[in-house]
Amino acid sequence: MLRVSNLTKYYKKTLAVDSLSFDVRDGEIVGLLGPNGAGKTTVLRCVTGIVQPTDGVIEVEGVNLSTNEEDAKRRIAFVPEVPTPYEMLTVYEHLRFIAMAYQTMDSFEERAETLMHRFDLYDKRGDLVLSLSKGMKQKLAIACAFVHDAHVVLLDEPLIGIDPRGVHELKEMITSAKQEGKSILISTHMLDTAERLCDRIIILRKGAIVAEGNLAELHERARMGTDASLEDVFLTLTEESPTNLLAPQ
Amino acid sequence: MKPLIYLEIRQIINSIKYATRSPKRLIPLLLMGAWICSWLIQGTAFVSGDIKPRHTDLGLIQHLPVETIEAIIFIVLSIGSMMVMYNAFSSGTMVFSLAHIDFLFPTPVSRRHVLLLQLFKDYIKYGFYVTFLFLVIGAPMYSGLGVALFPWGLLSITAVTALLLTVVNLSHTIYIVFTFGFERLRQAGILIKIALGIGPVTAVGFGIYQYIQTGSSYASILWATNSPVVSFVFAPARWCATLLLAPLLGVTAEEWFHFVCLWLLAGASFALLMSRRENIYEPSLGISTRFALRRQRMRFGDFAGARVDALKEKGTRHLGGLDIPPFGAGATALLWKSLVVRYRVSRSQVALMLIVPVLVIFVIKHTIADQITDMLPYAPAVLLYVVWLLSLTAPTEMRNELKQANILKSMPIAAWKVMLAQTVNSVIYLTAGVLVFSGAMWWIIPETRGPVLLSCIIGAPFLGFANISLTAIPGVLYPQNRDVAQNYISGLLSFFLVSLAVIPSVVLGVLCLIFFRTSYYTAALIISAANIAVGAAGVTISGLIFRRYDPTGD
Repeated sequence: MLRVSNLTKYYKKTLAVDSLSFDVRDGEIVGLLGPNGAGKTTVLRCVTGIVQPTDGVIEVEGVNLSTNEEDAKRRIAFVPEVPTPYEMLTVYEHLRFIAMAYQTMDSFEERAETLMHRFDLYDKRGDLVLSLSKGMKQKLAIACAFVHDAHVVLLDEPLIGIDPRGVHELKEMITSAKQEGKSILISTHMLDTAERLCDRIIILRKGAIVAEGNLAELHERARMGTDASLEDVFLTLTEESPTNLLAPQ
Repeated sequence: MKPLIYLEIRQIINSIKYATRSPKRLIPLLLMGAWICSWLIQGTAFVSGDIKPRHTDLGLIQHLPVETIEAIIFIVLSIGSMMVMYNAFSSGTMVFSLAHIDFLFPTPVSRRHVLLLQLFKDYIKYGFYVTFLFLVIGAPMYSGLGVALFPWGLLSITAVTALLLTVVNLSHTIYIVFTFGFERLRQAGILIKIALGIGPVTAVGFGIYQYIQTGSSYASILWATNSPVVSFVFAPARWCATLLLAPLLGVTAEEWFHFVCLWLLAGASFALLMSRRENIYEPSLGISTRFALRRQRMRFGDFAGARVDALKEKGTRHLGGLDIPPFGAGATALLWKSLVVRYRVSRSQVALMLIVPVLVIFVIKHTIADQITDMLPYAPAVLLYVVWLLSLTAPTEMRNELKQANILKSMPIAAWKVMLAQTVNSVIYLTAGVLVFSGAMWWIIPETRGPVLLSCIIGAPFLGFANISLTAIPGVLYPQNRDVAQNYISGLLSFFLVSLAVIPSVVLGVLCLIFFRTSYYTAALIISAANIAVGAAGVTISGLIFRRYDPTGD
């Protein structure tokens, strides 16, 4: 389980995230939506310890990230937006390095082989990463996230640039991770994917939550009928209107 | 630490394999290695006394008193150290790769281990730079003075390295603590900045006071650098400056003590940096991303892109200065766009174009002009060389332009007109450069005023047109500035073609002026007509290539 309480982040004097609180329960997929600059990537970077929160508490399976960082990070997997992997490692070495970093070498060979097969990387396992296409690099980043047995999976725009087969495999992996009781947080602009994949959706605007809940709850919050799509709900809720800046229900 | 060591070792092994498996990558690497080795061998040969410098007379340096040399070194070291630390209050120097940000920072690998490895790599790099520079510059200099560089040279190298490590460690600490730390620490940072500023302020004060008293600028500078406050604030730089002269003066017990102090400072600053609990990842994010982007741009020779990045970093929304109002339609509008973009991207170059010619002519006037009075009326012929030199930059411009080939190809403008617009754009900037240069000649050296200068002014733009239209061809033929091989071939071809383009002008010039004894103006007109024909041919050829150019292919 991932719990974020009163997360606030300032970049110098710019407020990027404003007292954000949410949790992602075990066996739940939560979608993080919002227009550009809403603070989605900052939230994920705070949760992964790349960026230091100005205020607030982040707990990963009850472990506080600020006081017990290494232990908390061991429980997190992260797929960055537009990943830049180590170009001078081979695909296999890259996966091995990540497994070593997370100290999960026990079943590494087996896991790595399965992942490389699933994401069409097996034939390229001895190739340098610099020879991979953009889409293949994205697939490698996803494979790196799943090569260690993390309980909280964070994905920042994971579907961009990968082929339909890769998208299918990723969706399968996300669903099976959910069935294994993992907590999954996906930041995305692909509303149809979020609609189909996520149990709950959090909509951010200017670093604050404007709405949170399942699709039915979002419809209600946007005062729209159940036939309205997530796109309609999203556009309504993220409109520049003072009423949309009210605290979430 | 184990994963980090695995990462570094695998990357080194793979880099070596990658470089050695392709001649295209191996040859530049070998050339670079040979260049570095030649310097190192030369340095060690000077040290061992196997070779002597060609010029044993070191000119001014030989006649400078030791305290002046020491003062110069001290000024360089203290100003350098201070600037690095001042900059650290606003911008960091701890650069990680983008892969580290994406794949290492989120892992549970200890931040201290990441920092330790990064510092270790940096220290090795700095140690190498110091040794290399010392051998390249110090070895021939000391050899010329008849002084053995070693064993005391080793002390100098290690002393400079210790100072460098101290400054680097402190600058990292300052950036982490005062830029990303708590508000009260930021305020403490302001106090440190003020304390650092006391040194130079008192130095200037002492200097001015001494100048008023003695009227000697030399004595004032020495006084300023030796003043007690400056000596205290920049004590490590002072010790280091003295130790750098160890091969010349030997080492006293006090200097040995200073040497130990320098290393103690390096150790203490390292301990201070490692003791900080702030997150080092966030402060390094911005600078690492910028650095990675800049390195990529430079590797591909994309200077326009680098300039655009710099403008983005500054948050520039508008550029003041010259405003070129929109004009024309079709290819003429394209010309306007190219003129505006080029001006905005390379404003500093445009400014330099105005200043450098004036400075060069001024220096010539006050140095060698008196010795070459007979040649001065013919000096404007140097403008043709300027044209030749400036023409060599045209392919880079063309290749930058072709990055927008998708847009250019979809425009309802004939290919040759696109090429003509691009060529004329470069010719306009070239002509402006020539006009400034010739204007400076006219103004500063009156002897150059005459028919040669006027003929060159008339002929230069047309010669530029011929040169640029031909040098643009390799730019269109090899447009990928991301490909090292294409860069090399394009450069080589440009050099060949620009040299070829000058031939008609030289032949016609000789015929007109020597055989037919026409006036300079007539010769300029005939040569210009020929250059228009050459330029038109060049534009036609590059237009034909551009018509077949596939912007989607590599």
